[in-house]
Amino acid sequence: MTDEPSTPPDAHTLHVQQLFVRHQQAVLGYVLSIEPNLADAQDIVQEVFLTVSRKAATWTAGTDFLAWVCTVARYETLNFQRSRTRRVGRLDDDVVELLHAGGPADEAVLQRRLTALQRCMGRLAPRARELVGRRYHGGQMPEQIAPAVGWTPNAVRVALARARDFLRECLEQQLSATES
Amino acid sequence: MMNTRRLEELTDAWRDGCLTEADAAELSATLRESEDARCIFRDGAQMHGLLHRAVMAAAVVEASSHLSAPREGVRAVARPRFLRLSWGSLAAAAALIVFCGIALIQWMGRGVEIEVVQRSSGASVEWKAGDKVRAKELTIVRGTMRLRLASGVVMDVTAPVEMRLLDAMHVRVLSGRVTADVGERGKGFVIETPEARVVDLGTVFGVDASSAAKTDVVVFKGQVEVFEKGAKERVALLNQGEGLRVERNRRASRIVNVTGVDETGAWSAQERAAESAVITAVGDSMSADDEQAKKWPSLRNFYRIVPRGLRDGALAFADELDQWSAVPSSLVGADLVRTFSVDAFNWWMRMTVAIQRPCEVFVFVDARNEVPAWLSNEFTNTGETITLDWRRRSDPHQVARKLEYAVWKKTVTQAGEVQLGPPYPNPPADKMSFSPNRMFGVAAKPLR
Repeated sequence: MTDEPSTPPDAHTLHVQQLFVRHQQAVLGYVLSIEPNLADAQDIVQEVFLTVSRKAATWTAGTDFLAWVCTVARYETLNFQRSRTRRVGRLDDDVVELLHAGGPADEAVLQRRLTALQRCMGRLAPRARELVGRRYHGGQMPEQIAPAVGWTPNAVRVALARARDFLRECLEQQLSATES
Repeated sequence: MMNTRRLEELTDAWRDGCLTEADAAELSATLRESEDARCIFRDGAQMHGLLHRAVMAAAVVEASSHLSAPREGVRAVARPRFLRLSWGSLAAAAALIVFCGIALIQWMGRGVEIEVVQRSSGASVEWKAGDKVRAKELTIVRGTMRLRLASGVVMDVTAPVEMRLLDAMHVRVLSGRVTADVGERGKGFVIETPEARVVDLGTVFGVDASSAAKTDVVVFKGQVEVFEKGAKERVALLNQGEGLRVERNRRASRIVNVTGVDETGAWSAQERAAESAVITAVGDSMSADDEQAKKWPSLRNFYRIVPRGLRDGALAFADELDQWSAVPSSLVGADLVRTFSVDAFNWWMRMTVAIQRPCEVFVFVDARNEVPAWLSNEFTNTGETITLDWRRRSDPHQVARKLEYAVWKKTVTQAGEVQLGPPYPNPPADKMSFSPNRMFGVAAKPLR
């Protein structure tokens, strides 16, 4: 339960909050790699913001902010998933730990991949771009996209899988071209 | 050896939120055993996060470009859209985004405004009646609370409950029971559970997500739309007196019984009746597998069992606003079953009343009706009467007519089931113009 905060944040906390907002898409991306549901991931990011605000004093300026926030985010996500014991279809805790114990990938690497991915998205056919937009911006599932585009859910699923395959290949080409 | 194709299928299902328990166990085992599998999964999960980031970033650029569209007569330089902005306006936009981001997150962090209307004495929350607070989550381990949102929606929350308050028109019940009275301003109010989304169309309705993987939705007044989680097409449009159990990976099913004292929020479609109750359950022959029954509207109706609920003003039917009045003093405080008024048309229905102690079972029959044989053979006419205050749906605040009902009685000396038949003795010859009188009522009182 969260009551209205009674005191305004101090300068350090405000700085931490500003850094958080600057990195919030990176945090969301990291949370989505553990909790794939967009609405739940957004809720978790809000929780992370509150936790980070409360624990702002434990972060030292000059150290890796994103790594610190992602550690908080990982624990918040695991707590969220544990609290949702009624949910079926989630990975075992030890497996989530195995997958993510190393923390987030280097943000500089992720930024390169992100820039390359944005270029690749520009090469998608308009219909495929629309589907990807609905799935990843609107958080819609194939069953929700299908009536909007006049396709069957399975056709949407296949088209999304193709779009993701195209983006993955394009991304690898872009990155290898940059590195060579 | 790892099956890559199968791993991709499971990863897709994980990403799309449709991983079954068996799939999750299989995927966990595969990932636990193989570092290669973990690499593939990690890449897929990272791609999922990156795609969200890329699409969101594109949307921000798109929005920025709309904000700074060139004035008429000024030629835009043909270069990528995200470079059309000047560095100054990009910096301003970035600052605005940061500012709005902070404001939005702080605003969301403050939660939703709530007025505490009432709390039970044992409630595990420190708020007291009259408090105005903000919360984005609510966990109550014991007690009950009545809360009013800024939309005017009043929620009766019964512990144990865990819920998130997304805004004044939208809550997510992760677990527990919530009854909402939405009023006029709250039309469109949404309650989400792990299995269902319920959209109010002006009503009083309840949602119970206490049991694993299933959600019960019952409508006490008005109308709601029920959707399965994530589905666009609704499963059902429920009216007053109707209920539906939505279960994961199973077809939605009828709720037959709702029990509980006659107070908002004090209901359950899953708990057994209290020890002191006489009637524990009511069932009928209206099976979803029966071809004739399939055509019948009451396949979604529930019987409302109200322990000690018979008194003047008690609602007579689960699906109407008719009330009992002039209740004989000997019957006041009897357990009451609200039947469905729509069953007045039903001449093939058989009802079963389960009782857990010796008692007298009463059936109230519209005095205009021919008495069916099952009643005259098994029950005795007490000579007493009870009145049904019939109210038209078009004018529910006025009693349109007072109808006299005869009180029939049967003494039952041990726990068991009592069988009741249809309100009419035989199928009418002319079914199209069949215009029956009102449905019967049922009550029971323990033997002293």
